[in-house]
Amino acid sequence: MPRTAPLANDLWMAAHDTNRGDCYLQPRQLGIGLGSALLAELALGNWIWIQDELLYLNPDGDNYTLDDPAIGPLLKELRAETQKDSARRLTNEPVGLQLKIWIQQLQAGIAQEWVQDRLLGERTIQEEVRGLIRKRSVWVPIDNNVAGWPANRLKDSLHKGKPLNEQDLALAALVMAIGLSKAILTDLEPQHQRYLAQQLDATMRPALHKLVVVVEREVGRQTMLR
Amino acid sequence: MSSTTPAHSKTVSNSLAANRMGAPAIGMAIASSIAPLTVVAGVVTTGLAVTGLTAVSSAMIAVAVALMIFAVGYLAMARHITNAGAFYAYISKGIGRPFGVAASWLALLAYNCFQVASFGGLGFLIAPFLTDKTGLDLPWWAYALVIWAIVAWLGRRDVALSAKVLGVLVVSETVLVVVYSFAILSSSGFQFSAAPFSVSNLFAGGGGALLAIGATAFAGVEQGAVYVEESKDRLRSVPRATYVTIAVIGVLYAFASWVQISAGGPGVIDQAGKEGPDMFFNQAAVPLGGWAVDLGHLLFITSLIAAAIAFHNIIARYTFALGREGVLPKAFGETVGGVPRNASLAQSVLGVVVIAIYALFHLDPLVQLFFWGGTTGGVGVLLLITLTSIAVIGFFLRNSYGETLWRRLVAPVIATVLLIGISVLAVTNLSTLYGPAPSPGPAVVMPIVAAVVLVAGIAWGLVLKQTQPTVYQGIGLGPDSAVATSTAGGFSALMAEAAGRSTPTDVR
Repeated sequence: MPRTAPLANDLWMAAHDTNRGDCYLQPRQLGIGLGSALLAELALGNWIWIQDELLYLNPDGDNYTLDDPAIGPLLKELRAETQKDSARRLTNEPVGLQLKIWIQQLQAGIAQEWVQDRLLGERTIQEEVRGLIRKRSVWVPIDNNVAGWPANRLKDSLHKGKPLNEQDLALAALVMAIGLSKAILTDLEPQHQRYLAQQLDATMRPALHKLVVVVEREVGRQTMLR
Repeated sequence: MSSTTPAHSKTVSNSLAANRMGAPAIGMAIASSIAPLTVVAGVVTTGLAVTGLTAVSSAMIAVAVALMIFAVGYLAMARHITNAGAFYAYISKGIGRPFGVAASWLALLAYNCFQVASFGGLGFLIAPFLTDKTGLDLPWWAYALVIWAIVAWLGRRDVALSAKVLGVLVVSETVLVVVYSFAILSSSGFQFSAAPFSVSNLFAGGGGALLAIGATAFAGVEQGAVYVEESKDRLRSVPRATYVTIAVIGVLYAFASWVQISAGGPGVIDQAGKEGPDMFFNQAAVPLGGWAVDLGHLLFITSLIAAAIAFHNIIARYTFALGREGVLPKAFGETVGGVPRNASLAQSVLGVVVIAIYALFHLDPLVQLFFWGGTTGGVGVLLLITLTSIAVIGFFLRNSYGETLWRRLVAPVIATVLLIGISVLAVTNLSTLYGPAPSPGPAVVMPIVAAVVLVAGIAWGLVLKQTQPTVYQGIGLGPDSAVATSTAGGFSALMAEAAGRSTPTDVR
């Protein structure tokens, strides 16, 4: 059984679980999903917490750095922004950063780049050149089985009535929030959906619940843009 | 343990900053919702033929001035509401939610009129063009159906013309209009006419029809509000882009109309009736040569195709937002891979039904679909803009939100007075606008349809207030509505269903 990858990596793979490795989602939706997944990784690692649509750094982590090509730089930027805000406000109180703004900022392209860097480091994706007339480079999973593993893992657990761990709960929630569930969780019966909802309600931490609600709203807002 | 930084020069804030839009980019985005060549060659000439009125340039300027003053309060309010691209959001907040529901249905009617009108224009233009070039002789509706199929397919995949393609089209159309206008101006025998600028003709019998045509010409300028959140400077970028765009296209329309009407001389109404949209190109062909007609046709066709795609996307998103709010059936608020497919499909079905009706009953695609559809949409948008202007006053009377007196009261009041005047003139001159038609005719039918839609919308809003208060509270908020996410079949919907409620879980 393959080991569980970081949350954002799993989301990227789930979004590219197609015959040719194309993405199910529009770039904006994928960007929102990956940015939020990175923030969720930080929340799961207790580097940040979320309250009232603001995200706060956990001061206990101040003396540590993250050796990860995706959440490492994100944490660094969150710290830099928090310090700037604190200096502007002349306060030692915890400074909250606007969750919606950070999701928008991550969605603009950098989240995809960081996650793809990490996937490249793990040698699970490769670059392909597509197009007959106008060539374009796309990143695709090297192994379709690896791409299918996150969705299969979720479905397998729900079908067998096995509880999902917190990371997989966050993955399932984000898959739904960004409109990916219609593509990769199509064969969930109503009882499996209810089971998932019960687990989300009972187990998912409030910070992640809040994050997913904001994500879903942002996906709706981005859909309105053209 | 050391941290590893990826080799990117981008930071998070740089990444977003690079994607923020400045005034020029926003101006181009607004302009891409407008179709200058469609207006100058199609709407103006058909309007001349149908109404018999020539004060077109003064109508364009009058509408442009009213819109620029309207934009002051409109864009100020856009900074303080969500779903800023939708008139009904303003009307909900400023006048009341039942009126917001009514406005949303009227908006759908108006935008759909614009969209299906383009199929009439396209069929009318493409048929003789291809017959002339290839010998192919098919009825107008065959070509309309081909374009419909392309638009439906693109809409289902949420493929819009890229900003670059739209930008090229708009710039090309604008350049063509300018070049042809100056060419017509320079042709021998050209004599200036003051008739297009006659203010007295504008307020004479039937002049309100020209104001309706003017409103049609500027439909789309309100889309600038969509970009408030994406702009570099929330206070300045969108207003600057909007004012400049309105001013530029206002001058363009006034100038091109004046040149056309002057060149046509005393017989311009007859000429417009005989030649239709070709009048502008034929006039330019005199000094430039026959190629001017072919090039004009080609760009007119691409202009209409771009308009059909753009309006399809606007309607799909409007319908999506209303489905998300629960004002329309929830299925419209769903997306697949981020694409509002059900909303897109509904609009496509409407389009093919309209084409089929016009084909089966042998109705005229130019006058009875393109012109009537377009101007009906224009009158609808004019009414919506007027209601929005009133809503702006109501909104800021409750709270100033730190806006200046000019932005929150003086400009909106002036705009409202002007817009009410223009709307009254337009609505009371519908018989002139639509021209002669067999009874009961669109001049009778359209106001009734609009009134029914408005009353039904208000009634539905009041029903929602009683039966679904959470949906009612969310009217106008778009994706931010409390019900939005619970109706969209996503995370919140799952949680709400599991909890046995139709409303979403409380925020923890």
